[in-house]
Amino acid sequence: MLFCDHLSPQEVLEAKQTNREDLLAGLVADFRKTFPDLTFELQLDFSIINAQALRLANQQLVTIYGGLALHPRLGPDGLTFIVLHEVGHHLAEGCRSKRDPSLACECAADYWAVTTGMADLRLRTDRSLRMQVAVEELDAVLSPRQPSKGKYTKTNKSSGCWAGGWPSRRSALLARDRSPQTTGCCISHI
Amino acid sequence: MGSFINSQADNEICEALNKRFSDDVDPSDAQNRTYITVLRDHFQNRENFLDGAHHLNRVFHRLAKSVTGGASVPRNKQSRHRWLALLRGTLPAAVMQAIRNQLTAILTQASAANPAGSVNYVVFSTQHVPTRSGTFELFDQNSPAPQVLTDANQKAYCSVVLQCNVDAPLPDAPNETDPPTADPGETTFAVRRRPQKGGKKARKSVKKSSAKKKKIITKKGKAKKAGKRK
Repeated sequence: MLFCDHLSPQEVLEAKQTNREDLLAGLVADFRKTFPDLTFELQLDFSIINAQALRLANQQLVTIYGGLALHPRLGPDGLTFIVLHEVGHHLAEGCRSKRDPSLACECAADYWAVTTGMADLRLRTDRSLRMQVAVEELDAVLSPRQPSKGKYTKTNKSSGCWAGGWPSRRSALLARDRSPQTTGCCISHI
Repeated sequence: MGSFINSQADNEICEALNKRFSDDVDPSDAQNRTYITVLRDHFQNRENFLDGAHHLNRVFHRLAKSVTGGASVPRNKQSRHRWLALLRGTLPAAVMQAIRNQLTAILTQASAANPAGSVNYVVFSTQHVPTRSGTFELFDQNSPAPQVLTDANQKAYCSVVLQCNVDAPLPDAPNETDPPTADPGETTFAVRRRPQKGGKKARKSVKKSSAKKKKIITKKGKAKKAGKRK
């Protein structure tokens, strides 16, 4: 996270003026209600464009940083998917993350988010996720940062995960592809 | 660390460290031991590379190279310099000491007082969070003992988390010494050999094909000479 992109101070200011914080408070409240065993944190004072799942002591943390939470191109659907994905790192079964075997892999977290996670959230809170809208919002944020062929995917081959490149990840999300059936997915199952 | 948007340099740093402290079998080890077992052996019997005489930027450089087979980490020069500068001097002394203490606990023999000495692997990550000290901290409040956790496969592991209180990119360090200057008393870590491009078979076929080319050239040369004679 030390080398992540940051949102500009101007964009942070604009987002705070548009009642984004109310939207975020509602979102986090719904997630706390649906997944009470997890700890959800909004770190709006950090402008890094990212979110994170982390096991810390006995806590299963999901943190949304200001750069992503206040990003002008993201709306409720994009943000809901992002948080579901991070929850998926903690709760999804299947292949493990190469970087942290205590968490589910990127593709397993994605699949869990658009299936089990989405259903649980709707059942407990009536919050729904329009996946097509979420993907369109995420296009603007992820396309320049996770291209299909380029610096990132070439050197990240050790993680062996298709979810590294946004175009393939995007297709899999819309098709709700189960991770082990996707070519190139890691195969280190529990 | 499951971050939503992967950052190249962060990934490379964490992956190199995670690999070096992993329970994957070290391919360069004749006894087929795991990376962490080989590292514990090196630390306990050959060199205490976490004592005060060793610099953390140099230690990181050596650990990473022993995994990549020679390539420096991160690959991007600017990011690497920023990272090495952080380890050399930007981190507060208390954090540097906590890093030495936690890694020492992991690499020394296990005991009732030191469960970290027997963990199967270590996960390294970073987190942005307000800290009590108002600057960098190693979780938990620069504790000398790393947190020991259990994963879904009931394996014990340690999680080493560098917490960053500052909302700003790491400062550039264009004049950083890269690679860092060697510390006294260094002994070589077992280094995974980088696979040679193509391997032996491919090199043989290259030789064959170049030999064939030579033959063709000499035939052509002979034909030309013969033509000239005509």
